[in-house]
Amino acid sequence: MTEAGLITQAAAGDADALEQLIRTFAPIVYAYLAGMLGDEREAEDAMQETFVRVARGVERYDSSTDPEAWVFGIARRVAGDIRPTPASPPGEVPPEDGEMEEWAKRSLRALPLELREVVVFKEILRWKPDRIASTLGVDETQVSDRLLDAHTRLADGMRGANRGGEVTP
Amino acid sequence: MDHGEARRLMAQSLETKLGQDEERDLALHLVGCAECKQLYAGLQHAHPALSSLAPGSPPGEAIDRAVLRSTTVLRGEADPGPIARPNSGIDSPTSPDVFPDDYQSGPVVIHAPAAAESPEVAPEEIEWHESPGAVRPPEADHLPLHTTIEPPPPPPMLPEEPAEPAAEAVPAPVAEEEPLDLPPPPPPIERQVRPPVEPTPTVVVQPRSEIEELLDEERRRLEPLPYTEAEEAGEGPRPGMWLIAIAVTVAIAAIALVLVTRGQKLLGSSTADLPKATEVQSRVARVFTDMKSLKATFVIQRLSLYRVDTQDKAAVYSFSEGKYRGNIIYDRAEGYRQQFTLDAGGKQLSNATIVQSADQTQSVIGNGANATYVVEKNPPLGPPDGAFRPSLGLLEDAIGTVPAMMANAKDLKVVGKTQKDGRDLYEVRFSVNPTELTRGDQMDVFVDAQTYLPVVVKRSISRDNAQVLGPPATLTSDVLDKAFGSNARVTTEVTQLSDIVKDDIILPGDFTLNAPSGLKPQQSDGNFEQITQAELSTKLDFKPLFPTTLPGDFQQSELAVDRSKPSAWGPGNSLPAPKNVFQESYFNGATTIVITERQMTAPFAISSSPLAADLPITVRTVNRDGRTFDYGVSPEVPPHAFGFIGNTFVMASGYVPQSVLVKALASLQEQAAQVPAPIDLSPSPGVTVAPSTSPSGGGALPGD
Repeated sequence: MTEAGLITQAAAGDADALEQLIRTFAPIVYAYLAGMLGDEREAEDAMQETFVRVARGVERYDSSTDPEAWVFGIARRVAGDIRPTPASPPGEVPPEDGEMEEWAKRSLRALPLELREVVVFKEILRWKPDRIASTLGVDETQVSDRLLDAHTRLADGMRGANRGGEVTP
Repeated sequence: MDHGEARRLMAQSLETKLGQDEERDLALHLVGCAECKQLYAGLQHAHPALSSLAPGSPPGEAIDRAVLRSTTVLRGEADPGPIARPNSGIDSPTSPDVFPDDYQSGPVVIHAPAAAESPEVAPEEIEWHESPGAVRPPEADHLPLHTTIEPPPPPPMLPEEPAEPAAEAVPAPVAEEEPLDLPPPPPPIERQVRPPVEPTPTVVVQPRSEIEELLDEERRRLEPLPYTEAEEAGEGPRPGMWLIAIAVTVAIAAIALVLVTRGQKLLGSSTADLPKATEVQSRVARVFTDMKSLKATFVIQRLSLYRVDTQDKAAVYSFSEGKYRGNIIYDRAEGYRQQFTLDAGGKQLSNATIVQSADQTQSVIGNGANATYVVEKNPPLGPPDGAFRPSLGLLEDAIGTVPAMMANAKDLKVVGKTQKDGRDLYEVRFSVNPTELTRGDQMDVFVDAQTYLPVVVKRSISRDNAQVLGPPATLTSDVLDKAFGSNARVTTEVTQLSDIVKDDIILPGDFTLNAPSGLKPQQSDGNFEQITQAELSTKLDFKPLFPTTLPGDFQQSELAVDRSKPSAWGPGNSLPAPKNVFQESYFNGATTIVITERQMTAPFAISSSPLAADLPITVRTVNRDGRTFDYGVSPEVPPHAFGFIGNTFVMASGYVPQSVLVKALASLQEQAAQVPAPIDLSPSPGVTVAPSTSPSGGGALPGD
């Protein structure tokens, strides 16, 4: 059954269809939320909240809407509602290779929401620009611009770290 | 160039390789602009750091909690509110109830269950039976060269269900195999005049594999308890004991009733801690797609046709159990190094060390001074021009096909949990459509409960489906009848991994090939140049075709163009020279599909597989979307589909179902825009690997 069909079935009260829908989307929704929030436990809670909102919203689902974009629309609102744990500034010395991942996580959390999510889609979920654009409801140029902006801020942060500064929020 | 333009090029350089002019302009700007230079340096560090953030996987329990709460809401019941983790008060990140998340970057070391028969198994642990003789198969018209079957009439590799139910309910202990009392072999059948072939000893190995041990444990649990000494002595219960016995029986029945009806709530079901089938399917798929590297020792016992000899240019095959023993080091961004031996038909058929990377393949075949050392620069990606370059070596077929089979399974069940060597394993059972790729109709897979990597994979097949194990021209029903004997089902393959280290750092030295000293390499050049998507228009003289119908998880991983002078090719160079040859490969994290396109002046007639040579390849015709293709299977080359689209001869090969290969060919179009973009798999910071010369693929979940 298609994902749209699952939503339709769920709207008719089919709990199995809802479960299947959740299990289908859980991996990417969780990956998105973990990237956005930078904390696995917060991501678990946010994922649970996302799917509760999905359950509440299945009756209002428009079958002409892409199911993935619809679910992500909800996940994005949940992520927006949750203020991520403030990022501590990167260390005052350039991150060593083994610290890069932690540096990247902290730097991501310091980015504004709209820049953070485009980085998460592109670098963590590895989505193509057209898919990102479709999900965000923007055109690909805006996706590129946001990516450049995000990378520039992160690179500035890297420079800041090299100078002993902080990531530009 | 102003700062804005420089920044735009910097950002662009993160996604694609800049053109020469752009690269030069940017370099000139950076030389004169300290600020942009510093920014560029930052980008060079920031981008790989972000790329190293692997997508995390939600713990199964977290999904279960989301399902429980959401379905409660869906039913119109009151929202129970956030359902907390069972150990939320403890806040222990290392709680055994929670799967480790994928943000862990350290290597995961798995101690797979010790194989019942280790690679170093002593010869006396194996029973060897000599075949009473050999028969040759009926000739097949389409085989270019005659083929000789060396049939074991072996007792099946691992006998399972007897054709007729045993008289006793208790499974009989595994008896030592007796050499079969077979009728005299029929006379050899030959298509061409050739000297008779002396029968060579054919062996049948009766291994006691890990999985058999586990199955026996289960059987033993079902056995009736042994008699007590008193019972054996014929002492019956004393008078008065009957009442006690009846009372105890009633009490036990009552307890049993409660346990059956409420047991799950009271005690927790024995299956309560088992993952759901859908979770296993998803997690096993992800373990391959997310896997960055793997080191493992493997044993693959496979019932198949093996070429044991060549006589008068005719291959002599044995339908018997072959045993591959070896180890592999696989790096997703670099290639692999595998070392293995193959024994079948009573002798060692192969002993090789192969190191494959994008730009060359090195092989040492054989031992000592008799070894052959071959270095092929710029090798093709796959047939028909050379050896197939699977991403997991021998494990590509043995293990790499498991995710797709699981994804297609309709009856997958997690039947139990076993602990071995301190590691939990989930036993998963499902049926599969018997094909030359699945090599079975039932699968028993033991996956590591922490990583979900399959560590034991067992395939079995019923007699009715056994024809898929080889070309019917060589694997005749007569041979199969003798191979199965009185057994309705046999094990066709058991793969066991051990000494597993997953996602460890692979150093360049790990891919070193130590050729015997004094051995000079035989250098060759496949003349295939790896190219990028951006170079298609400048380095190709024709418009290549790209598949628009591949399973969504396959991502383009490599493109290559043949730079050699066009020449005749195929079996005996019987096919006309193409004008151009182009290859593209797609990888889903577990297996690779290679598509070869030969631009011809006009279509040519072809009656057998281009890979036929002296191999017995069965070819069947498949129609798809109004187009006709041929599909070839053989025990020695990957499944492949081929045919013409216009004047272009196209071939797709890989360890995927026939339908995937044929659909891919049928969908080929001049629409590069629809090709999935290559995924940047730059080595993670801190991972020291030699720079890859090829774009590497990656993807999501495999499927059919």
